[in-house]
Order: sequence, then structure tokens, then C-alpha cells
Amino acid sequence: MEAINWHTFFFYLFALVTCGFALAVVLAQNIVRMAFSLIVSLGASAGLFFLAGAGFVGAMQLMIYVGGTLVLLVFGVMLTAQGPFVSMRTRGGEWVLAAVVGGSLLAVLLQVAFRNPAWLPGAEQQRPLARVHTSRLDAQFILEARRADPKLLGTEVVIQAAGQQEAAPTAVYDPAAGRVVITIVPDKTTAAEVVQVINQPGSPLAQHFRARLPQGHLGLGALRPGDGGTVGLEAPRSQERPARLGLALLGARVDDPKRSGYLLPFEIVSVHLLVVLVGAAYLARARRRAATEAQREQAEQAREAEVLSARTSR
Amino acid sequence: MLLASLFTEPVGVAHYVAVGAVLFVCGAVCMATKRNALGVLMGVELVLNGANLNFIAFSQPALYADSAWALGLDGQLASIFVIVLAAAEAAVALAIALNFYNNFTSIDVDHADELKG
Repeated sequence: MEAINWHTFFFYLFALVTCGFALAVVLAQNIVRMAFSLIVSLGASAGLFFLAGAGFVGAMQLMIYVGGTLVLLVFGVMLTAQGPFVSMRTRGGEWVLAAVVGGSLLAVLLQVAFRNPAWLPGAEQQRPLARVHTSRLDAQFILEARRADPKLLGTEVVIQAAGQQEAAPTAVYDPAAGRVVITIVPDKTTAAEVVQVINQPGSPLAQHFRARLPQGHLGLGALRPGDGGTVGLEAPRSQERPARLGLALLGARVDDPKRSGYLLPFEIVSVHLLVVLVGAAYLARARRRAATEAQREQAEQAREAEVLSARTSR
Repeated sequence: MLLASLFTEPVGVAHYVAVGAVLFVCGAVCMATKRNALGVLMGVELVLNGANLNFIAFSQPALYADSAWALGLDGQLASIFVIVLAAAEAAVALAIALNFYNNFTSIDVDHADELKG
């Protein structure tokens, strides 16, 4: 049996929760239950964001959407509730119409989603991340780096045996030829040395790969023919994604210098948010001021009436 | 058997877009059928979230058959703008809903027919 693809597993888990609770939002009659279902649905979709590699956006979704917007919504529910459980029934005919329209829309959209072959997963996704094991000396290994970085497509890793007099292993990356050549001394070079050479700061190889030793006893001894899983080479995961996002918002694109940054949209959206929040505050307090004026008027009238009654009684 | 093959196959953009489509349709139906103004607002949130999910899926190169099609960072930035837009929209819509409730002592959108004709 094939190994379970955990990305797929968690995708289906989160997708099920997202869609199920979105459906619950539609079907619930009680506004409080709708708000709760919406919170769960949006939270699970943040999980989908994490799965798709957009960790920063997922965190923003959790903080702004689930933490901010929905709290606002729940406050709205509290402030406008006419009873503990408010329900405004939708007529049966409207449900039928909505189901027909929604169902046909869903059918069209799903067909479109699965029709496009470019959107379906490719065969390359089933391969693991860039990784090579020194299982045999003087053998060539294809570095499977497609998922990690398109630049590493089809990089060859060649492990050569050097002469006995050479003590330190060397590792050279030739981007033009697309190959990494690692030279070791059989039965003398340890995997830790190879890892150290590859990961040395400033070495040209360190920009493209990160070598690691597996946990456990493997990799501690000298490399020998037949050693399996001693040194792992993998493309470094991009860890500066939030920084790249932040720089792009400030107008500088580090991921693709040919594309333009987002400084102007960022400013527009910031001013828009400010204006909208001021507007919302104004809208929300306008009626209360009118109410207090009416109350003040009432109070004044009552006082006048009191004064009048006091005068007449005197 | 089907379940086993379901979890061993990788997912692509199409799967994420399908979830986005479900969210969009749920939101649209929610907007159309709910009579509570806040329910309509929740429908809008669902629609925006569906769009967000599509942006995120389009941004990830690993989900494509050919990673050259991916939007990259542009998709994530677009979804951040959508999140901000949704926050702004929720604030204004909620203020309008509260104002409406204060004026009509009801949150039923069917009562908001004074501008009719």
C-alpha cells in the first residue's frame, strides 16, 4: 500500500470542516448558530491557507477575520437581538429557488475547476523534496528538487572517490551543468564532514542546498560503500516569506524583480480602512446622539412641567 | 479502496478551487435567502473567503502541474487586500445594520423598503 500523502489528508480534513460549516451557515435559522458556524468555517479555511504554504496570510486570516471581524459580527448579533433566539424564517419557495440556482452554479463552477488540466496536480508532486543519499559511491543521483525550487530541476549529484592523500571532502555546484560534485575519501570521510563542507557559510553550495544528518547513529562513522541514508541534501525551505511579503508591500520585490511592488495599493487600502472605520464609528453613533437629544428634550419638558406644577400649587 | 487512493494522491489547484466554489455558492445562497441583515453579511464574508482561498491556491507553485503558471507572491498579496477589504466592509455594514435596527427596531432586510419606488 502506498504511503498516505499527509498534505492530501489534511486538505480533505480542513476542506470538509470548511464546507460543512459553510453549509451550516446557510441552513441554520438561528443567527447565533450561524455566527458560530462561520467562525469554525473561516478558521478551517485558515488551515487550508497554511497547507497551501501561505502561513502569513493564514495567520492574518485567524487574527483579523476570526479574531476581529467575527467578534464584530457577534457584537452586532448581540446588539440587534430581539430575543434570545431570533429566527426569521425564509419561505419554502425561496429555499427551493435558492437550492436550484445554487446547485446549478455549484455544478458549473466544479466542472470549470476540474476541467483545466493545468490546475490538476502534476506527476512531479508525487516525488519527495530534494534529497540525495550517499548509498553508493561513484554513483550518480538525480536530485529531485522540483517541488522545492524550479531552479533545481534535474540537478545531478555526483559522488566521487578522491585519492587517499586528500583529507577534506569538497563539494562543488555547477549551475550551468546542473550538477553537484562531492569528492570524498572512501572509509575515511565522515558524513558529518560532508555536511559541514556543504553547509559552510559563504560556500556557493550553501545558497542552493542544505545538507543534514539524519537522526540516530547513522552518519557518525566514516562513509563506506553501501551506506544508506547517511547524508541528506535538500533545497532550503524559504523562511523569509513574511519578509518577502512585507517588502513587496513596501514596493520592493525580492522574489521576482521584474514584477512591481504594492506600495500604492497598500497605501490606498490603509487610507480606505481608516476612512471606513471613521465612517463606521460615525454611522454607529449618529442615532445614539439623536436619542440623547430626544431624552434631553424630554427631561427639559418634564422639568418645565414640574416647575409649572410647582407654581400652580403655590 | 477508493478512500485509500483518495489519501495517497496529491491535491492540486483544482481541489482548492472546488472548496472555494463551495464557499462562494454557500455565501451566495446565504445572501439570497437570509432575511436577517447580519445573515446577509455572513454570506458576503463566505463569498470573500472563497475568493481568498482561490488566490492562495493560485499563488502556490507546488499545486500546479506546471509551476510556471503560479501567481507567486501576487496571489498572497491580493488575498491580504481582500482580508482588509472584508474587515472594512464588515465594519461599515455592521454600522448600517445597527443604525437600521435603531430606526426600525428590526433587523429584517424586508422591512427596509422605504426607498422603494
